[in-house]
Amino acid sequence: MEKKFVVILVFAIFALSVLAISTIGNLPEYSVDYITLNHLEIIKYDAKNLDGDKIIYVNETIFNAGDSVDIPLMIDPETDATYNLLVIPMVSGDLQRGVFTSVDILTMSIFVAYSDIRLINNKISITVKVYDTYSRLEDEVILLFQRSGDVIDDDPDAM
Amino acid sequence: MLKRLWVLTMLQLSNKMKFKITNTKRFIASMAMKLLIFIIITAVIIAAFVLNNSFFYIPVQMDFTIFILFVTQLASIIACTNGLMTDLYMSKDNQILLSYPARHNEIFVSKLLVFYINEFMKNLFFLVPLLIGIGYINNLGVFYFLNIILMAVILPLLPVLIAALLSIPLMYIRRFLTNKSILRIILFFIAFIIVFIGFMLLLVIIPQPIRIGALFNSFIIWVTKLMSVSAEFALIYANIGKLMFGVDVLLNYSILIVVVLVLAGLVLLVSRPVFFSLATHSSERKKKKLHKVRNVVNHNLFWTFMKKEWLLSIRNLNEMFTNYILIIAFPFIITIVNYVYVGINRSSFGNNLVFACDILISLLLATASNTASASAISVEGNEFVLLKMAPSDTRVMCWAKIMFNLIFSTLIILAGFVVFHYGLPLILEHLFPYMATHLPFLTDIFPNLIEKIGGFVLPHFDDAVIWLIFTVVILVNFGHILMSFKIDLMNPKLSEYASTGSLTKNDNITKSITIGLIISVLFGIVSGAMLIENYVTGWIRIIAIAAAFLAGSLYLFDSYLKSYFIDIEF
Repeated sequence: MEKKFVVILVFAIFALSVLAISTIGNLPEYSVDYITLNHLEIIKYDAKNLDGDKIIYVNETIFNAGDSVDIPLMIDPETDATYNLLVIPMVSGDLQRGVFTSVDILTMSIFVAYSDIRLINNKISITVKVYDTYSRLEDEVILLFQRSGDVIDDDPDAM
Repeated sequence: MLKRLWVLTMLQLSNKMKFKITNTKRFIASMAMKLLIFIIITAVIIAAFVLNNSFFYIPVQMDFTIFILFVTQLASIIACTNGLMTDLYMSKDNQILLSYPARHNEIFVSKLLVFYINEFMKNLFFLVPLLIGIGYINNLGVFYFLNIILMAVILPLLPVLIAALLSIPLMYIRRFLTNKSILRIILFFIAFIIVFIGFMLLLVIIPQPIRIGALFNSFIIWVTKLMSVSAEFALIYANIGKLMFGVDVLLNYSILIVVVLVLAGLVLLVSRPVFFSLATHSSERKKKKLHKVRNVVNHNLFWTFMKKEWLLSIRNLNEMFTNYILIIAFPFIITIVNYVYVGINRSSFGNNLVFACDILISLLLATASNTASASAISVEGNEFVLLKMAPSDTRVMCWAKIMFNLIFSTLIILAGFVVFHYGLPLILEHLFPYMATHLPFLTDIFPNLIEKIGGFVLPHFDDAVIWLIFTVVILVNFGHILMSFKIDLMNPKLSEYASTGSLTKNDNITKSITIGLIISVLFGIVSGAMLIENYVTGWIRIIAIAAAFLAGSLYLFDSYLKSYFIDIEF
């Protein structure tokens, strides 16, 4: 056995101890501080269509499988209970699994990664819905590869 | 030429592998076992990917493949560079190989071929199963799997060729630093502090209090983004990843072939001519004695041996540093660990877990640093006979060696606890606010970092707890020093050290680290259990057990020393 092994073991024990302390060694009341949100909104988008749906164009950001988009969110009150938020990608057919979505509480944004190249090659649009399970507030945005002939009503208020 | 190359390569490989088939059945069984291991590794990797798709959702796609290729090949380049520096320029077999009726070029190429074959074998049992797993999980076609066969042959070439080029400048740097111990230690400390500050900068980004559940998504997103970004900087490995996934296959294959040819050309043009001069150059004769030889009369045997240990240590700082490296890292590691622990909102049960983990980690680092005691007699080598022949009770030498190890490690552990308790908070409380006000460019690197650094919360522990942990660590560590010395006392490797001058693969050191690990884990578990059962009596019982362990080790060591020291022979 070498010292290198001891170093690896120290890191492994550290990781396991953090997991143990944060799961079985934390304060019981701390696990249930869920807060109902008053406001939930996707604050950054490029345009709105005729139905008022928020749209983000991904022509300039998504080229290969693995490329991703960050969509900023605003919540009120700002709390660390944000992991009660669900993000649901809606894609036609069997391509649902080709999209990876999650909420990043550090940057307060929705993360959407295109992991199936067919979504990009066929320029398939994805609707991403964000939903708070306690207040039942929700908002959604369409990620679109703009094609010629698409009718878009640009929203001058959009940020 | 090819025949000579073949003979030279096989000659070197035969030191590492068995080629002669003496028993056909055993050979078939061995091959079947290797195939089974390959299948098991592949199955485990596929299962891990399925698990990932169900729980972690890290996208296993082209970027993931490029990232894995890049990281594994980077590790291979580091390992090959280190290995090639030793095998090409410092290996003892150079003296034999260079005297053979073969050209220096052939010896050079044969050494690279040996490394290539080693890399190929390593890839066969890790990278190939991994690529098969990625292909399976993505339902990729025949083309992808055919590419794996080609890549199994081409990929090992890259780290070997890159390492052959890198080994030349690094060898010159190594030569330059060979007799400059203090400069090496200063450089090491600078690197150490940079790594520590890097860790702290990463830690302050984590919002307090730390909630693993809430941070899980952020962590997965961070990993996904990291893979995506690294794919852009993965150089030739990005081309390999793309061609495997059918993106611009011809173009990427052309780039790969050109890169391999250019690297091979550079190795032959640059490394080959340097090889002979570096391989035949020795730094042994360049060593200068900096101390003046003089006779000093000392009437106390114990202090004479203590002084000898001290002089040997300061004249060989490298070895001292190698022995105590983990205990030197102790204050830094314990601060980082406790910063995270304190960030979690803990119950009293969680607090007890923290103390138990602190004891466990401190003991792991302390006991792994007692290698000097586990080789104390062995390192005397030839000189042990002379020492033992002295007309006096030379067993005192063992106590002097133990005392030196004990004083040194205790002082560093004490310094570690003092730094952890008083010093680091002072430095960080002043350093971080200074950074917050004077280094605004850091905000471009990490958003909001300066703000977070300004509000940096230091780990705060009750004074008494720190010194209770210190007491346990010191008592157990002293017991372990005695146990380590006993291992070397019972089976000293005097002749091995005398012939090789090296402690590499020393069984006594391995045993000492293993026993230290077992003791640390046991003390960690027992401490946790006792503190959870009753906090106040828990500490008393833990210290009592540690003191009993020390008393037992002391008694056993003294008995063994009286009985066996006299029997030690070269």
